[in-house]
Amino acid sequence: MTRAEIEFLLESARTAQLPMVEFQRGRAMLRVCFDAVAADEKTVPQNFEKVVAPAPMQTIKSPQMGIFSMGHPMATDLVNKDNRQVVENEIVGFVQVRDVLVPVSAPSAGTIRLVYQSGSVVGFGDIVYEYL
Amino acid sequence: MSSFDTILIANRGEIALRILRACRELGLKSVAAHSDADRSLRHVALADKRICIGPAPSSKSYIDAAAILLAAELTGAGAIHPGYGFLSESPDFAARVEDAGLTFIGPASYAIRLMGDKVSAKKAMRDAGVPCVPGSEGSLPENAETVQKIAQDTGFPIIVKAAGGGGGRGMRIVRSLDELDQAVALTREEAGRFFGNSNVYIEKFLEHPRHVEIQILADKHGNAVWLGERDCSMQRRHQKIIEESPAVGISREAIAEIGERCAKACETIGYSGAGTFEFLYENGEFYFIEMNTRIQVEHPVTELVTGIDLVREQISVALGNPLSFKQSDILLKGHAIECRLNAEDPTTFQPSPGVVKQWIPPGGPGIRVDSHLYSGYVVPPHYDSLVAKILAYGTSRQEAIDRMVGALSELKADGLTTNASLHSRLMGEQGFLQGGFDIHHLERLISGGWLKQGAVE
Repeated sequence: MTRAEIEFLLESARTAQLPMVEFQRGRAMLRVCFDAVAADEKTVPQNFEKVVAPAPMQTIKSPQMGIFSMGHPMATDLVNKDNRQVVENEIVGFVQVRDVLVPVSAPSAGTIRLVYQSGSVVGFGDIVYEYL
Repeated sequence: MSSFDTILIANRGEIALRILRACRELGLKSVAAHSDADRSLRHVALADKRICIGPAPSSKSYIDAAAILLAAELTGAGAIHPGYGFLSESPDFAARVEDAGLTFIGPASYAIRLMGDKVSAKKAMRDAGVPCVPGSEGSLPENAETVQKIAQDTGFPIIVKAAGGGGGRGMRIVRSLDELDQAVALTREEAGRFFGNSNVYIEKFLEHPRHVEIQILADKHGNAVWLGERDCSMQRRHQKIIEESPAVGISREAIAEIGERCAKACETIGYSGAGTFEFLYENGEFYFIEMNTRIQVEHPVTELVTGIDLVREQISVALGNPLSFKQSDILLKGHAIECRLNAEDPTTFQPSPGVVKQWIPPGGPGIRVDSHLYSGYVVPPHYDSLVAKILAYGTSRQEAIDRMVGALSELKADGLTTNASLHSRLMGEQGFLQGGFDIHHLERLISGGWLKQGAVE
């Protein structure tokens, strides 16, 4: 892999807000972590979220902003993934961020209902599926 | 000529709402780029489009340049308004916006870079005839003896400042030669750590200065105007609390002279957009301290006394239009005061985020409230504690103060702890009533036990 290719991948991964990228060649591995915190980040009081947040509904959220699709864009056998049973950790869609595809996984088993259609722009944390 | 019909608002809170309203007046579409913690903000509901750019911490949302550029790309925005704070004064971000073929609503990146570095800014201002505080000509050299010579020539007390600093960080007061070496070393270390630039410089430390700033607007056709001054001397730990215009006890001739020089400086450096020249004022002299290359929190004070919509004009200039008025059209009338309402304890100043059970803003003649609050809104703990700006306008300073007293008594923000009671007390404080106090006035009151003497609740 060339330096330019590594730089391209790093920039793509950073833009996609991936927390980490690993390169492996033979027995050598390079791991790059992006999770930096600004020096002036505010401290969140303990229990704040518990005090103000309503009980969460079970959903599947977009891990990143980008263009949502129910299946892999290259897949030829796209099935309708609306109102269907899924198992825990099953990939139920992708968010395309320029050249990167970020998988969307089901956090638990159940029946899911689609919220966004394929091709929609979604934001970080937007609900893309609801559990029935 | 720039051309865009959609603006991505890369900010939050009251300023995001303010920008959205300006977009609406200009017939432009708006995109609210918000964090995961800000889904319930008012401007997010009102915008034509909205997109969540990342988690709550600003490092992963509002100051993540890549995320904001991606949001603009996904939503088809042709321009980015950075508001104030966050990326508003980042030359690198402005350059990336320019490189992406979008319009940055603010000055060109080279102007932000020039004015963002305090050393290069001071040089540019000296060259343009704007008076500066006496001190080192540029960054301090490494040689300790040379630094000592510069300090002695300037005259103690002096202040050591980070070239890339701001907001009260990265500065140290030195009152004698034997404190100098350590103060310079510590400030260098802090400057490198916080601002990524360890250059420091020396200025004469003024004992009783006032903070007086000049608002400017400049277009891309070489026109620049000044829009009067704001006195922002009521501060705590370098954070402004109350701002007003005009400044008490400074002649209109003196303001006009410094204003003309600021406008001239904008033309010299090729500046466009809104900006503020900040000065210390002592014994009848102005000393330039820094330029803010963005719209400021306190801009409505100027809007009230001039009748000019600064945000609308800022966007119009970014579209490539010439300024819609000339210097001779700008007339200052009446007096305006702004109180910054923060969600914080009025005595300990600790931030106090939480649920707004009931929000009833004040009203009546001469009152303006810029706020994103509404009943049921949850003030998140991740950001600045500013929740509203209460403004009072009157034909005289006393009328503006009287109206502000009434407004503060009307205001209801149940569920939140705010500094409204501090403002109410300050409106009746002798030094404030007299006007012309220095930037240490509030700190002196606090250290003298003034807060504990009254019932600040």
